Amino acid sequence: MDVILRTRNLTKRYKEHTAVRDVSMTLRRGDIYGFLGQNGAGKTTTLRMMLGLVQPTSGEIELFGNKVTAARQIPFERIGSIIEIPGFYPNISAVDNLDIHRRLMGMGNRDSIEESLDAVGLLAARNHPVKQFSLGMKQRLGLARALLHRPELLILDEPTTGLDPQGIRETRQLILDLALKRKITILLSSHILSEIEQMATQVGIIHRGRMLEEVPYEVLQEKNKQYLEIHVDNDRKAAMVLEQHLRIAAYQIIQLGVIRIYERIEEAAVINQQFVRFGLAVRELSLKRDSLEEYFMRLTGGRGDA
Amino acid sequence: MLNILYIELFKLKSSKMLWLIVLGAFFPGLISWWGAFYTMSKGHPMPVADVLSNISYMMSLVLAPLLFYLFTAYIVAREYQEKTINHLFTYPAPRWMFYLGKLLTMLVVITATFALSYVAMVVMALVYNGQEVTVELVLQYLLLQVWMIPVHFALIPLAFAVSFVSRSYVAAIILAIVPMLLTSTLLSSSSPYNVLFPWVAPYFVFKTVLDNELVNLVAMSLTLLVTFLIPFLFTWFYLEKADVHSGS
Repeated sequence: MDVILRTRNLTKRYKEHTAVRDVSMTLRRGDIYGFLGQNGAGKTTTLRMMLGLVQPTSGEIELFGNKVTAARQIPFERIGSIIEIPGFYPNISAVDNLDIHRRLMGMGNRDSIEESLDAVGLLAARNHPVKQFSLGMKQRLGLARALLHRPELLILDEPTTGLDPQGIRETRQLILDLALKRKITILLSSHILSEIEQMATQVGIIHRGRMLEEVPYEVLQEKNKQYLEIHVDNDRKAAMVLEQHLRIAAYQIIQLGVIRIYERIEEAAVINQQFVRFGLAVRELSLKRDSLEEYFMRLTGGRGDA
Repeated sequence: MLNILYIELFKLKSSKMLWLIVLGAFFPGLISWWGAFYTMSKGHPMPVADVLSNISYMMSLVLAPLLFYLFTAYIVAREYQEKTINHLFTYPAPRWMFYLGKLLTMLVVITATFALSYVAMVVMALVYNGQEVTVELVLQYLLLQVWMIPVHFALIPLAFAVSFVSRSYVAAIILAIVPMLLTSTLLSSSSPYNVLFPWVAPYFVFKTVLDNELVNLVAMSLTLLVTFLIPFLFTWFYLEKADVHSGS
């Protein structure tokens, strides 16, 4: 698959503070790239650098196979974007705001305005001034604008901010449709793990300006390996049985009486038998998997949802 | 470029800020004509030329700098406050084009204000005392208003520079008020160096057009040129280099 966007060691320093440090990422055509990180992790600064709004201190950006060193080299007509809360001119209508975008993108046809508004469910409010719009409506209008010129790459910074649950669901579905039906490559930043989990095909995790991990979502799922969780009356004795009689070293006592076993998990019955044989009372035995949230917490040493 | 100018003007559609043009064009006239009609009713009519002079003086030296700086601040600062700046610089057009578009918008605003003001002045002068309204007087004030357009436009890039750097209205308003106060002080001193203070330029235009007084037009033009060019170039390079954050 061809690479749509690639960064190499992208860094942004502000005097003493380094907002983004050596971030390397690769987006291939058709990806829904979930760019995950807590608030202040450096997501928006990275996206701003990709759009030429912020000049990198060092590092490289490659868009559609061409190295970009200045904003004027960015093929903006191939990119749609929402950075932070989408901004509009409040005194004019939704249609007029999109018409400004159409003219600046050099598009001749006005029909796409109605199509875009229809796609985000704002056709009925098309002639209302944007100052009457709620935050959720502005987010949807932002999406309509980003889609208007039929971009190949969509860069969306926290696109569900301010949306109600119904709006979040609709936006998620819209993003999935755009990727599947229109074959648009999507870079989606979020601090909400569940949002990334439900959409992304590729995940990049950024923390304190550094890219901690960049993997396909399936790999990430695999990394969140399965384990056996056993509740026993005596975890020390259970540990002894695991090590000396079952030769299992990959286990963890996570709290009093609760053990997680990461190897030979298919032999749950044998493990249970051995525990019982050594007089241990097994209160509960279950096969479990780490959630992405737990994995993210382990990786960043913080909360899953910033 | 015309497309960008059109868009900049289009952004002002239904904007309350357009009232500033109306205010600038009619408010000095409203005050002056009210005074003129009042004194006329008392049997002491003011000459039309004096009323027109009062209007032009009030407008060009007092009201116009404040209104035009406020308008400039509005068309710049709103891009940051409405967060549209995040989008404005992600179009296939260089940043300087948007800057030129805004600058030309101000030229349109200044021209519209002086044009409306002129039309209002002539109409009201005819209503007040048609016999005093000579062709010479009409042409003299036409020349004055036309002169005022480039003079006030030359002062605008400084307001752009301050607004782009500060991203707020406040700095540009301070920039308008401080020279306005200094202008009145300088005019009372009648120093030969007044000509180096660009905000005094409208006064010298008065002297030249209305009183046929000899003023150092070369020095005045050079002062205005420098006042235009330095902030104009500064803003140009600033926009090319500056990181864009919407103030968040």
